[in-house]
Amino acid sequence: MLFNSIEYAIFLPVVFILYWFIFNKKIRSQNLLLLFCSYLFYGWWDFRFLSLIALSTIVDYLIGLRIFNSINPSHKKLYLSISILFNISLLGFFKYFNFFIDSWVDLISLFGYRVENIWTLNVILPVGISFYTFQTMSYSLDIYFNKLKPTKNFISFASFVSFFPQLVAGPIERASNLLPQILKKRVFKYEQSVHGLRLIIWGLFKKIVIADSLAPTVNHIFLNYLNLNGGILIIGLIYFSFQIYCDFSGYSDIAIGTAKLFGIEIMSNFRFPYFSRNIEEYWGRWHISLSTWFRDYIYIPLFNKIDDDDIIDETPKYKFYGMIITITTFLVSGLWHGSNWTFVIWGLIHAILYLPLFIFGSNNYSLNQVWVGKKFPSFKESVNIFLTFFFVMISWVFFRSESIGDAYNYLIRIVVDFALPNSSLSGFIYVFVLLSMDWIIRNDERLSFKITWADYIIMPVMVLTIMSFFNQSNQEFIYFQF
Amino acid sequence: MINFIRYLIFTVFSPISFLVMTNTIIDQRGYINKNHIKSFEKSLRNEGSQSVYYNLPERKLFRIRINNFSEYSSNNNVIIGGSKVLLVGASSGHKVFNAGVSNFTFEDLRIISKRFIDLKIEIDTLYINIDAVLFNEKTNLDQWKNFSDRLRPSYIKRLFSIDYLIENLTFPKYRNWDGNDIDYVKFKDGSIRYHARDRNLKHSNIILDQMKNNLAEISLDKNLFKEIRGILNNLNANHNVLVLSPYNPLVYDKLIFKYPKINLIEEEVYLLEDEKTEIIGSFNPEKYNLSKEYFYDQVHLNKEGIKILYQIK
Repeated sequence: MLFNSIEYAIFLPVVFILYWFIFNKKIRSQNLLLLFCSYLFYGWWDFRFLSLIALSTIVDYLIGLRIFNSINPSHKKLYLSISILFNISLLGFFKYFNFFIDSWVDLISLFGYRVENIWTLNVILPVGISFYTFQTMSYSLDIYFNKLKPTKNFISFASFVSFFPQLVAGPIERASNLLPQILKKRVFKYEQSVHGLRLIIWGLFKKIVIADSLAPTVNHIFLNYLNLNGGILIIGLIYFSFQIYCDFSGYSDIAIGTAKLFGIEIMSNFRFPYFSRNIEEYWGRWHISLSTWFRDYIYIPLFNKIDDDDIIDETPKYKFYGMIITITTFLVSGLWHGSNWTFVIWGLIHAILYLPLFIFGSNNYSLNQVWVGKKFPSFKESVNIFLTFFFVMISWVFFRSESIGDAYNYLIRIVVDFALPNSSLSGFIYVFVLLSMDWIIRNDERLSFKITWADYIIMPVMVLTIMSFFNQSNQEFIYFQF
Repeated sequence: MINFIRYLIFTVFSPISFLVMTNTIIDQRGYINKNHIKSFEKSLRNEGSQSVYYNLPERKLFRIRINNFSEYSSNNNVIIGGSKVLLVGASSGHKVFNAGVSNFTFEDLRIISKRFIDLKIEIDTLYINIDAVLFNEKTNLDQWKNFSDRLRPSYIKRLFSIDYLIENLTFPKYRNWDGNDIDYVKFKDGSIRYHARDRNLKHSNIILDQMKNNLAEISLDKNLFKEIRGILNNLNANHNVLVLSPYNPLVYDKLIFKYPKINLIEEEVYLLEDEKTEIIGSFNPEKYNLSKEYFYDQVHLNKEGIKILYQIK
């Protein structure tokens, strides 16, 4: 069931009414409703997917209890390993099996060997598997690291795993944030619900009006890049940068907004990443739930292996191991996005962009909200923003292309066949609208401003604009493929 | 909760409700309200050709027109097909009852021919345009469903559409044609003439991309050809003419390279020729020396091109 579909437009109000008017007497019944509706939502794609999420839920529920109740540290580690192995195997089988087989065949063919019969599988990738497996792994990991106590309430745990607003494309929630909210009584709050509704409308606007309007031009440019000049290819990249941003952040906004309607707060996933002044800030603003997952469960634990005190070590050995860990984390992050070497290269590019900051120690200061108290960025900030966007945009070629060869050819053609573009310029209207609106709301990505008369003008206009574009829109969300 | 519901009503439900109510009440295309298309048909039949300023619901119009067949047709010649035949008639100098509809599929052919059979209409010369798209039964073209009065999800979706609101609020919808050379015209015989701005389109790549879904999965299913013969037999016209409308030479070579089955369809169609059934035309414009000047765009012959095609033996 897509967020931008008529089915969801019927599903959401029905669940909302049942949740607050019929099932609101007890937490258990509310959570049962959430669980049922989440499974209905997920099963709408393919009911066969339900068995996997149910299995993942049961395994991690039991393992969470085992980890917590075990006294022996090696038993704790064993149970944790089972959880990780199980979830990674699930992911590996459905998402990466054919990729690894094909890559292995390509590798040994480099040495002159030919494989006659390649055994690959014809499996459907279950929607959202990359998201919910990471979510359940974080549950086991947090229990292991004593950040969380497991719950014995299976219904609540299952509701946490399958919570429909964020099930198929994130944000990847942490149990320490979401589970306590599932376990306690929710109270309806007017402001929270209004903020939620704003986010839903804003998310739909970004997806239907901006992303889906740019999509046909992006598709045409990437499909026909060999026949187009470099100027148009740059335009294609710019449009894709905003298409994927609006598509994904739009989904996240709808997810967060929907959760708010049910009295639940889930984490922000985007904070205006294209206003970032360097790549470190960018990764603090783009797909935050995933970047923090990798930071907390891969990057920091690996760093603690080499330096477990809190003092920053500036020795060459530390820097060297730090670089390896950084590259590894970004490569794994790239691979998470898809079973294609293009995603790995995309991750590698970001690693290369990040390394100078790490080596020269400029990655350790936190950057606050974008231009607090100022109307416009300074010249230096503007240059930094432009450069960061430029390099991020270049990396998107690998993300969007079908193969490394295509990505390489695309980039080469930008240089060797550059000419000023004389077509495909109308999409900049959407880019301008998006940047303007992002700029206006840059201090609060959750749109929790005070409710004023402006709502009664802006919201209807946005609703009508969405409806105006809705009939032309038939694009699925990009991140569903991950 | 009451404050939130009030907020919801004013910010979300009100604009949607206004939109849906307005569209439902005016409903020019007869999704809910059939009166407008009935009025249009009456004007067409009694007043003659109409300048049209909105998207005519062609299939609903056909259903009403065919009930008054004798008032439309002076010689019982009928032409059936897609947008390529919609231009055949008054503007090209042919006297026919034009039963053409855009985005014509095999299902349209079945429904339209059945209507003629059910009404026992006697046809003198029957022209059927055979397009390659007819042989893609997996096409996503589903406008044939508009023949039905059943409330479809796509109708309900249109009621939520701003575009439809603008169409509904734009006046006039149509008026008696005064003979001008600009307007989109629906002639009394059912044929059309494009608006002046649409008579010279040039984007060949876009057309090929659009055709991908309709031409990529053409089937050479023999049963479909048998079915065409069955339809011809059931319609029992005095003379049948199957028309293969050519593509613009600017795109023909690219099209054949991408969709080579098109030529195989042409060969199969020629096998349908018999003493009562004649085949004219070809998908290949070169066979009849039709240069790009005879086309409005990549697929539609202009008036002069139609005159040449329909006179060729």
